Amino acid sequence: MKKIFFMKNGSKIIAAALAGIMLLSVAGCSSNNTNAPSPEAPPASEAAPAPEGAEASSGPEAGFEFPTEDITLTFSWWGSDSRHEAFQNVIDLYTAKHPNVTIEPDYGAFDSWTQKIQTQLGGQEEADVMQVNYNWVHSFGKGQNVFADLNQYGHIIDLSNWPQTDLDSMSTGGELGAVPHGTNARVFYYNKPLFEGAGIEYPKTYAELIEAGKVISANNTPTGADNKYVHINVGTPTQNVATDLFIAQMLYDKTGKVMQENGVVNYTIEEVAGVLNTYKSFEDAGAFPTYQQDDPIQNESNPLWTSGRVGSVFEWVGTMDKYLDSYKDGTAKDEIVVAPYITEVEGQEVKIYAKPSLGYAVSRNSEYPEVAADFINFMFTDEEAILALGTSLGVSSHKATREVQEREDFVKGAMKMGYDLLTNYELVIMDPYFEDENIRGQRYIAIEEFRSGKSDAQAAAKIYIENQQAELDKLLK
Amino acid sequence: MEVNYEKLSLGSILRYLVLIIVGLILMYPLFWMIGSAFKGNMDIFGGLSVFPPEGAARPENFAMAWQINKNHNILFYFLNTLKFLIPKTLLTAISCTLTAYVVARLSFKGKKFVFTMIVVTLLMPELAFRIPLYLMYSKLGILNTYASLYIADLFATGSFFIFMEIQFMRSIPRELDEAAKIDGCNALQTLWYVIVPVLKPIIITACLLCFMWGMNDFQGPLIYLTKPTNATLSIILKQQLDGDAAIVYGKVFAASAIALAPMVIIFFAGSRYFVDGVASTGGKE
Amino acid sequence: MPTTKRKTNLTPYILLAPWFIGFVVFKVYPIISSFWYSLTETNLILQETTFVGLQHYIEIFTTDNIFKTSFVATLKYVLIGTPMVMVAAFFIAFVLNFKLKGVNFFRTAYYIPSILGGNVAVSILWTMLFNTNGPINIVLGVFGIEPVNWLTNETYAVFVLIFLKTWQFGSTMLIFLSALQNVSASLYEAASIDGASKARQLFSITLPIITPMVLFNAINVLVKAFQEFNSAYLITKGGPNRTTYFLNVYIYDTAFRMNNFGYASAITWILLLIIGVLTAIIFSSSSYWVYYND
Repeated sequence: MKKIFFMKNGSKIIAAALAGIMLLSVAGCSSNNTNAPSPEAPPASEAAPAPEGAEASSGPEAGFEFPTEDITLTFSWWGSDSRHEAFQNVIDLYTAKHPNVTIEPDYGAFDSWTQKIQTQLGGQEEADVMQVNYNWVHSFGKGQNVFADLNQYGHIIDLSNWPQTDLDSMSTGGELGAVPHGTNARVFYYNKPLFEGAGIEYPKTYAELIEAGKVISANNTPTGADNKYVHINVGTPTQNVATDLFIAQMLYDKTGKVMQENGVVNYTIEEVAGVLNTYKSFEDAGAFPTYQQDDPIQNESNPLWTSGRVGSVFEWVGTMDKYLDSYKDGTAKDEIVVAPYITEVEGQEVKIYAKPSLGYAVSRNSEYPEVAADFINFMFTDEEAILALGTSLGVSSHKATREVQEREDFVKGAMKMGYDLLTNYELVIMDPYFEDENIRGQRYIAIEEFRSGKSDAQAAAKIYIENQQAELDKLLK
Repeated sequence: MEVNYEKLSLGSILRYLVLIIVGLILMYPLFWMIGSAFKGNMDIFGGLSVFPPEGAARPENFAMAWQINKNHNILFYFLNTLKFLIPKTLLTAISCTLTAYVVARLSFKGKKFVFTMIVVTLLMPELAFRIPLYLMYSKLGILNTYASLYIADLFATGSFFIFMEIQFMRSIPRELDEAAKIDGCNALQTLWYVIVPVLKPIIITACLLCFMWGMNDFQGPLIYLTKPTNATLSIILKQQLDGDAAIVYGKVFAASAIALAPMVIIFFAGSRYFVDGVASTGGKE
Repeated sequence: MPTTKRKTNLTPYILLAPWFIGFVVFKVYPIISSFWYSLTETNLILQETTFVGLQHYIEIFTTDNIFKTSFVATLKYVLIGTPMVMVAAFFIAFVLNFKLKGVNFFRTAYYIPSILGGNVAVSILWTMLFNTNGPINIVLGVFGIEPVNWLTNETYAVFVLIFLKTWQFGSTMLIFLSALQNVSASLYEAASIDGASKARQLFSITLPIITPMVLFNAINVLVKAFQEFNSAYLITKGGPNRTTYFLNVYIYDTAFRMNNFGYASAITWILLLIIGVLTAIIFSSSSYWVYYND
């Protein structure tokens, strides 16, 4: 409503200013009056996108009456091509069912997505339905919910489909910020032919990883374009999610303690420095590329991965599809397999970091929150929609979705291996602030300084712990 | 203007050599970009040649770049860019010329203050205004409208252009104004009939510069326009580098070339204004 | 031209109204509001603002190591980049000032990069040029120089951006050129008669006369360099180890990635003060080295 007022006032001001200017010129120049200057009228400004429709009349208690007028929703998500296509299909299915609804997609790669969404949220310009990351629910409002409370829409989204733990981890300040697609954890995907060609087994221990490095990288050069590696952690220095999680998992394995607990970083400098040095030994052995050897492309298009010159990646099991699609252009999906986590000691019992993945949230500023909720529900319950989404989001923890996925035998190949593998481990949901940009940003700094050789293990460990703690203190104060 | 060209001496040969080498260094990246737009991923790196290898040219890169994503072609984003650039350019030209005229030609109390403020705001980084304006536009509800990128220009906020025009106006003889006044023209009429015709080259320069800088602006659209439907060229180009299933470099280069083409065309169309106009920003003080 | 006036003529003020509105609404107000925000903790998503006084400023100057890194990176870029642009621009203007055939062609050609340089497309191009297997390394290879990993090398990454800046010397060059063309030929003739060498003429005639333009250009280039965003954000993404994490990128990240508008505003204000102080120093020193003809 504010918007409309401004536009009116704004154009009044403009008109008044112009009128003033014109008045001045009315009084005559003795000649040429007919050509009196008329300043260009300002072009009509883009109308503020404020559809005038009233709030849907029915309250939550009254049940949900689907609006009959034409309405437009926006739906934003990040991901890769396969997900873009899948969601686009789901949108088509939904709008076919509700012809008066138009859903505008807003999608892109994850690279700068967090910034974009925060820019939108800051200006109350966000999409009606948003795909959200686990930590957003907690970080954006520092413990307060910034999305619509989905508990209010329980009559539209049947929340009993989710395990309570999933709903709990997506709740903050007593409100349900988002509903998750499933549970996600990182697993090792292996490139079978590369190991067979080298005649070695998938490494089970750090020592084997180093040995494999010596074999596979035997012909590598310091910056060679044809280098081979046992493993890469995909991620740019400023968003090095894979390396960060890899090191975090190593720390967890080594100490048995999670990263943060009750706002305190759980590790000592010695513990972190030790793990960093071990990590370095992988790079030194040629198992991992060094900082200088990292390719500029740090996503599933990484040429090492797509051309099959790297033995493994450490990626989310739920979004494995995009790595299968990019590996040799998706022509050799059966060459990718999964194997147990690499540990320090063979057969060591470890717990694995996991998180509720790919939540859906509704904007607080949505004109049609019920329709938005209904669309979310549609993605989880409509058979065609579930079929359209396939495995682009991984296995769902939503009961109805999962039933369809299982009945259709959707989850197969490497992805099935991944989920099966996870059943052998205890999954531990990471702290809500584990992925907070301020907090993990400090870990990225420490890791980059260490890998690039700017800081030694001790100094980097100090940054890792102290800066992270400082950010946690700020956040929780 | 009569020019006595130097005879071809050792000195002038040396100078040409410098000019040609510098020219090559300056132009090579652009030609390499255009050439690479026709190459496959394998042919782009590892060689200096601008041309793709025999028989390996991939004009289809341009077709891919044209249909830059599933929903829209690159023209759509170019038009989006024009939707704020054209108003921005026109408003800047009008408001800045008016202001420059008042400051340069009319006498009034507080003139010195106004001129000083124009210079001060000229030196202030634009960045200092980005975030507070984002907050202001957010309150006004004009984020994600193209107006957010030009509304300020309605009010002569382009200090650089005002300054440039003031500098230029100093070289226009004041007798012209006097004559117009005797003819009974008021201030605005004097501006329109007397000053503007003389000022035309510098106004065109201002328009061209304003347009080009607007084309280059990335941070503005990044902050003020965040809807997929109002993305500008610079935003969509940036997205080409974000993770796709597979980066086709040729496509990225082709898209870059397409994006720069209008600028190069406009540049050559207006180059005579440009070159002289920019030179005069230094003023004759 | 002082004309006697009985009553104040309102026309100039009415015509200045748009500028004045713009000045107040789009310049003064944002600056003041940004100062206010710099004294607060503002979570824009929650629409919550709490006054915290000078806390952000204290943090910036005490515990914020990123600010220090970012400040040093920016300073390095500005202090190396500005002279490089100036020298390149002056040198080429100097060469172009000789009356050679085809000068107009070169003048136009040299100007193109300064028009295109800020474009995202050129940033993309730069990323590719400085790829490990890109043309730059191939050229260096011809001279027997080992390939450099430009974008991940702490020493060189900032130079990739400085090169891009220098590549755009065109508009600075044009301003120099027009100044050079205004230097009266009679001055050189007189000097030649006195037996001054060409080099001597450059230092004792040309340079002093164009010092006002040097001042103008220096400030112009400097202020722009302090705000560099596109190249750092797109080419190096602020890396490696934040050696190209310019203040403008830091401010953007703080506001839109860390969701901390108060802190971002505080950094903005510090940047504003730095630019202000530096400009003031250059201006006040100008009386010692800028030569005014009149």
